[in-house]
Amino acid sequence: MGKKVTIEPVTRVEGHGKVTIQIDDAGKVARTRLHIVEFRGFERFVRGRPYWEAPVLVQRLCGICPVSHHLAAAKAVDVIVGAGTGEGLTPTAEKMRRLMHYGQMFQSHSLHFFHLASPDLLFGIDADPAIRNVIGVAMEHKELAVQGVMMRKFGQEMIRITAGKKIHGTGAVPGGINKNLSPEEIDPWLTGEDPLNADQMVEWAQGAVDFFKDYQKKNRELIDNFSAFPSNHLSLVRKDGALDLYHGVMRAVDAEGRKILHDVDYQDYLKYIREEVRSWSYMKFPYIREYGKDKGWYRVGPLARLNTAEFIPTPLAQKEFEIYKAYTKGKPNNMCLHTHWARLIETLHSAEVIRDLLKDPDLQGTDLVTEGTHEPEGVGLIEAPRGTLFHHYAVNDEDLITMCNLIVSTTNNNQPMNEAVGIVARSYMDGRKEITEPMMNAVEVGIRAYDPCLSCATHALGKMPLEFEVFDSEGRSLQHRSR
Amino acid sequence: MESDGGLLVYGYGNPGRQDDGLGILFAERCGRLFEDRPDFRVETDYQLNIEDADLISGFRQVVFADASMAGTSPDGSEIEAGSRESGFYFYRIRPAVTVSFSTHAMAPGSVLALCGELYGRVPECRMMRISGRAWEFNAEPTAEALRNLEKAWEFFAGLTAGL
Repeated sequence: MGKKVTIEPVTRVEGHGKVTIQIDDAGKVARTRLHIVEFRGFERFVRGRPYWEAPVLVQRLCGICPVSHHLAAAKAVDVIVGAGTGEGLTPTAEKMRRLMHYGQMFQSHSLHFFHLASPDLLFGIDADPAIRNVIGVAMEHKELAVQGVMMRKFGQEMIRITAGKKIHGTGAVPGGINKNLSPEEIDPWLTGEDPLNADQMVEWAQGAVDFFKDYQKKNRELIDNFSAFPSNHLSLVRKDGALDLYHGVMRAVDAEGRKILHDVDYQDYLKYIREEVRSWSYMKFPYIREYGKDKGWYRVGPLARLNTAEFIPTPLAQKEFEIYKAYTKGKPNNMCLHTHWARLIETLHSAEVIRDLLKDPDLQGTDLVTEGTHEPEGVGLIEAPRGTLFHHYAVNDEDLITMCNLIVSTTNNNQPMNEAVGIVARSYMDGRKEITEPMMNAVEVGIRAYDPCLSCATHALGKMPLEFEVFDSEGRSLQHRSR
Repeated sequence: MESDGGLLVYGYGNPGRQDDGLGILFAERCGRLFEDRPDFRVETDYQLNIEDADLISGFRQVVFADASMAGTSPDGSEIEAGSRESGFYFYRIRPAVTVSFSTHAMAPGSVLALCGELYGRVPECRMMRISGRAWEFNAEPTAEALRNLEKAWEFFAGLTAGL
């Protein structure tokens, strides 16, 4: 009798996620799906509100990625107020926003590695869940855990000094920023309080990259083969091909590295990106229009960014990028768990950028806002920690928002995460008589590599335990457990 | 509660999600009450996370404040005040070494456990959990939530009056 395995919801991600695995009578995995209940209520809520409220309102979407939404909305509103698309801001405004954004990237990536990924790496996918968590890391690898806490804290402080406050920050305003930074505000992070200073962060970020490289050498079979599959990759890149997490043009490459989206202006994203609706999931499936639903889906996030970028414009991260690229002989990296490697290189890059920005006298500038001829609509794209984030608004003559469309990073990774579930489920569950906790965790590891934020995708508030159910072919529950 | 000069009140939640901001409102009210007290500190954030282990390690006592779904009681906790009817629960929290990760956020007990592992000390910690009703994209909390907040505040102001 066939069985249906349900893992619901996915642990360590926000919102509602459910994995279903259909096992046929021969014990083979017949069908897998990652279902996400997406609630698009925010787009309706924001209609009728003045456009200048958008950068603050969107932070209500998610308490995990508020800075990314804040800046993506601000970039879209920049276009509406005639400040242009990225290059139009004053140096002070752009650099303040970059400091905020790279602070967000640094803290989010650090959190992901130390809190979400390192337990699986340090203890193994099949380790006891009681130890396979951040408390376990603290017990067994105290120095690593302290570094993770301090790196996260440093990134949060960069956000606080640029956004003005932790909750519903107001730093980015239409056409610019609402404050600069004095030398007194900056000095503690450059020279002061040990260990929270920029040099220390660079050193620790380098250490994290080295840790992963060493781990990969010792665990090549797992790291290189787990949930590896070819795909397209999409991200922003700077016009000269450099990695740029704040602004650029849209580029996509296929699994062999051929450009399939040629550095296009993201104001025209609707010409290139479509979203497919499937009956079994509320979350849409984006794809590159020219290549269609079946061949046009793509990955976003750290792995994708290091596949589309040609170089990294900071020295230590560039050196690591060269090592990383040499591993695949310059070809795109399609190895799922190498996402962690890419994420740590981006963490190092972010630390270097933050250190450089803190020394930049433009942060003390007083020219904060640009404004020009108003436009009826604007699109803002940013490379959020989890990948490309799209915000699109249209306004009427009364400056009220009439249309809002968001494509969040997790939605962009919908198809890749579904691919990962299928590959891991077949690898770990095919022909097995019993579905064990390590098998379930393996599926989650495949999903977690994308660091999905279902709070963004679903706009949900839920935090729930993992539910696990086995159904027979007629839908009757054969097994149920919760953790 | 006793204090020797080191009380942190930490409210968390998303005030842009209606009643989810109850913990923040509670903490902000404490901030006004304690504004002349250097030994009292108030913090707010969207959710608890690993860096909060570092923060709380510097305090002798911590009170977390958060919203909760109406009608749910804290399982297995040492309730010191409040009830379902009063719309809040005030209870002791202890380190939870066995954690159940669900999100990019951490449970209060897990923050305590991490604090203990990393810094070798754990503050005396309590939770103020205030019942909410609705969680929409609406800045205004519901009337029921505000009544519950008021009752929680009356209790806490009385508790700390002599400190």
